[in-house]
Amino acid sequence: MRPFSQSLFAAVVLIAMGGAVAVIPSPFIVPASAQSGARNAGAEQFVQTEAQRALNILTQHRGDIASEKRLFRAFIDQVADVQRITYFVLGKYNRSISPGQQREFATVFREYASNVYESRLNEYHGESLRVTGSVARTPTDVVVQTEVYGGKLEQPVAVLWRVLAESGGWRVVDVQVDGVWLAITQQQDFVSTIDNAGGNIQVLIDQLKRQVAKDEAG
Amino acid sequence: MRAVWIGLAGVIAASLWLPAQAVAATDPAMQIYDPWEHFNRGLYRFNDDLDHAVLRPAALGYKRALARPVRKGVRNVLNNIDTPNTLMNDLLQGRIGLGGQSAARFVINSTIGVAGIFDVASPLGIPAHDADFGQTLGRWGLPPGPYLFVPVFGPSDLRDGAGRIVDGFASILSLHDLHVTTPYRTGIEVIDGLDSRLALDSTIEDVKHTATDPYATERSAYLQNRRSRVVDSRKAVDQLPSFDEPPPAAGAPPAAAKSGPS
Repeated sequence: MRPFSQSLFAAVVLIAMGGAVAVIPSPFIVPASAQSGARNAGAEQFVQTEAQRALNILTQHRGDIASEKRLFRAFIDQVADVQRITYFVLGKYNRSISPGQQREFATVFREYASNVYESRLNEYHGESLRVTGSVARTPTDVVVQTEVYGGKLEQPVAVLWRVLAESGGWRVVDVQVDGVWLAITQQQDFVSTIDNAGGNIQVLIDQLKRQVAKDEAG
Repeated sequence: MRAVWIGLAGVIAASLWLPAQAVAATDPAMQIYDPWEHFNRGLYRFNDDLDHAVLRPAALGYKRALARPVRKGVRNVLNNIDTPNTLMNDLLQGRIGLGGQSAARFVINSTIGVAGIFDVASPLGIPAHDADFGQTLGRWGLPPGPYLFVPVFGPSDLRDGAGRIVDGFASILSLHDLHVTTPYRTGIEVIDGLDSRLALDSTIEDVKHTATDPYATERSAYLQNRRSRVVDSRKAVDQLPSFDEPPPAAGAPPAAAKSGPS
């Protein structure tokens, strides 16, 4: 990974992970005419608007860490489809996880992801974002192409956002920087941990709990 | 040089022969091919100890020894030295426009930029980009082959490992007429290594702190990053995994679940 994008990488983690399951209706409706491969104006508008909202939180509350954390949690609750992300990052182990473990994992994953992005809120240095295009995999599954520029970046950095539509609203499920999709990487991390524990999902859950306890103590 | 091409031919043959490469992949973005994982993890642990004892302290010492603007100038010079190799690979990949940019960057930065110390080309609208021989082999259709972890150098795969060797021989530092002595070249490579390690420091520390399996996380990030430089972006989007259907069930044979060309 190129070093200049480290703070950006940290910043987009905010969107890729964390938040709650609430589905907030969005004014951006999926065009019925959207075809695979075509651009999707609704998805593009969603990303532009929500990214600007995120940057506004970081700009207006700079230095006020408590406010930043509170507003960002609320923001991610609205824009990220955490239920899908939580399901996705367990990969093949979704087939064998018990309902009790699923609830336990969802709770600890939310805390773990929140701690990851909250520890990086101070890495924002005034960058801005502009949408440059989109590719519709299906009418409800779109990859929006953006450029982040300004701040401490020497050159604009391409960032892709994968957004899915349901119940009339778009939600972010993954973000790519330097070719690396965050949710895919997270899945491969978690699945490898469970693989190495002989398929015991509880080992991952316990490891995340220890990580969360350590972060909150430190 | 002849030995390099013979070795490269061996790598190409091995990559094409490896039977697991023939397994059809529905979502190659998710595919990991790491048949030597046990061995690689051993090297990863060794590298972690080496990094803790030597590499990171040396990189932080380099940071203390040189002020940021000086380090920036050093990085610019190192990038400029790499630019002819970038140009060669641009052309080998048939990317003529990017090749023109590389040529322009080299001329401008080597002259107006005082031997590459200042990156004058970027503000003039000629941004830097990367191209290497591992990427060229990928764009020619060669699969990445097995994942490799190489101490000091970090994540790689069979294709990129071979590409790195060719890049070393193709560097302008290898030009006979430049009379670059071995100690001088070694010095440049050591500085390059220290600067690269320093640039990655916060990322490496983040991964160690947050990942539940840092080896798997670095492997995933490396393979995705390299794949993004080889595969057409439209095709890569089409091959993304579903967010609603889990991949093959736990217990599926690793060779079937973890292989495939990029």
